[in-house]
Amino acid sequence: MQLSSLTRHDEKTAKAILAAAALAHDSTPYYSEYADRYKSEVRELMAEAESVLHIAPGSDQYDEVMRSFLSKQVETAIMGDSDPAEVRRRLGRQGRLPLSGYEIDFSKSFVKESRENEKYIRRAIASATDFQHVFASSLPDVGKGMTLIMIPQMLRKVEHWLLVDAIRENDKLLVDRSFRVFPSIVDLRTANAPLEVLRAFVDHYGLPFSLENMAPAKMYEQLLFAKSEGQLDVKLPDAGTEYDVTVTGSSFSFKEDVANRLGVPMVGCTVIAAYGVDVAKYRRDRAKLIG
Amino acid sequence: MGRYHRSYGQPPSSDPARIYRSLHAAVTDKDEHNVDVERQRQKLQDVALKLLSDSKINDDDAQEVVAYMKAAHISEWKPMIYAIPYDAVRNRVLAVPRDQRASGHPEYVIADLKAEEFEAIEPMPCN
Repeated sequence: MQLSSLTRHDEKTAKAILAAAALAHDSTPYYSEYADRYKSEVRELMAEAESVLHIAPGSDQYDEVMRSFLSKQVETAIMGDSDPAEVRRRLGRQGRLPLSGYEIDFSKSFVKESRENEKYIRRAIASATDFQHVFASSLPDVGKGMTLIMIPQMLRKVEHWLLVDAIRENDKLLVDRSFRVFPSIVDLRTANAPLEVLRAFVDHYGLPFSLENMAPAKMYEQLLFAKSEGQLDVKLPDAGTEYDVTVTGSSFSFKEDVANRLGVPMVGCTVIAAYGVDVAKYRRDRAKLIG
Repeated sequence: MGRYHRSYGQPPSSDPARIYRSLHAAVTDKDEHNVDVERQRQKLQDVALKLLSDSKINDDDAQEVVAYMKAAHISEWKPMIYAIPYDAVRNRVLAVPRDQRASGHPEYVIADLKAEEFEAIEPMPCN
């Protein structure tokens, strides 16, 4: 709602008056003194608000109603014409949303591969003590990101970590894998951040594989390359065991002039992390310790 | 609290221990409608608008404050107590005038407290 006591001022002054009115009753002298700078304008604004709301100072719930009204005005003044959903997506892309602000979903491969219950994972994420957003270091603003979440667990008197690997896309987290990391098995002595825990986990349970004809490795991190269009080429050696390879990254189109120079249809690829896990070995340990 | 304790009679709204306990209960009980937390959310938006009108932040920053406040579940809040060594702030401690106090008990503010002048402690983690 446009308040006439504000529209007669320029935009910046109107915002300052509205902020002063909202902060007028704050117990911090710094803010109440700020409000004093616009004393008469604030008084005029409050009078108009009282008239709009049909309330008088001292009436029941005056403070609550007025605070809520001013809060809505403040929000409108800040947001202007911008789309709140887009602001939220921007925060999500940058990894700056609170963890509880991300919408959680599960990838098809999680549903197929994981032996974890989705409700349980959602609850665990809500009580997460540690998480880390990992970006494509060369092109942090391009495409998808990776978010690792760690939650301390105690099952059958076995203390361990639940490590959740999610693909971050705007304000959504798509849970892609989750692993139980047992400190009695995986050497976590030098691992603090979630990415270091994942590295330690892959060091123990990983199996080398080859990505796009690169030298085989248990884990690749931070790759940027061009390739012909189509799926990433993942080669698994015949190790006689069950492999699970996870790749988090994005592909992007080149700008027209670069594409013309390349001559053949190619796309750019960022890989934040790709790792292969010996599923049978992991499941054996998991079953032995927590069933 | 014993009647001979120095804080005996201190109203709950200006007693740091009781404010802390109340906020702690709101967060651990996931009380999304807690009035004090709601007020904090509103105040952070109000301050964002003030900083915007002072050109200390830009439109994007202010909008992100609003989006963040809306997105944050109460479990993201973490009540803290500031332990402020008195020596460094001795000359800047202001007594709150009687008409702004909750009772006859003294209350003080430090309007320009700097980040390096206090330790934020979390006596009882909420998680």
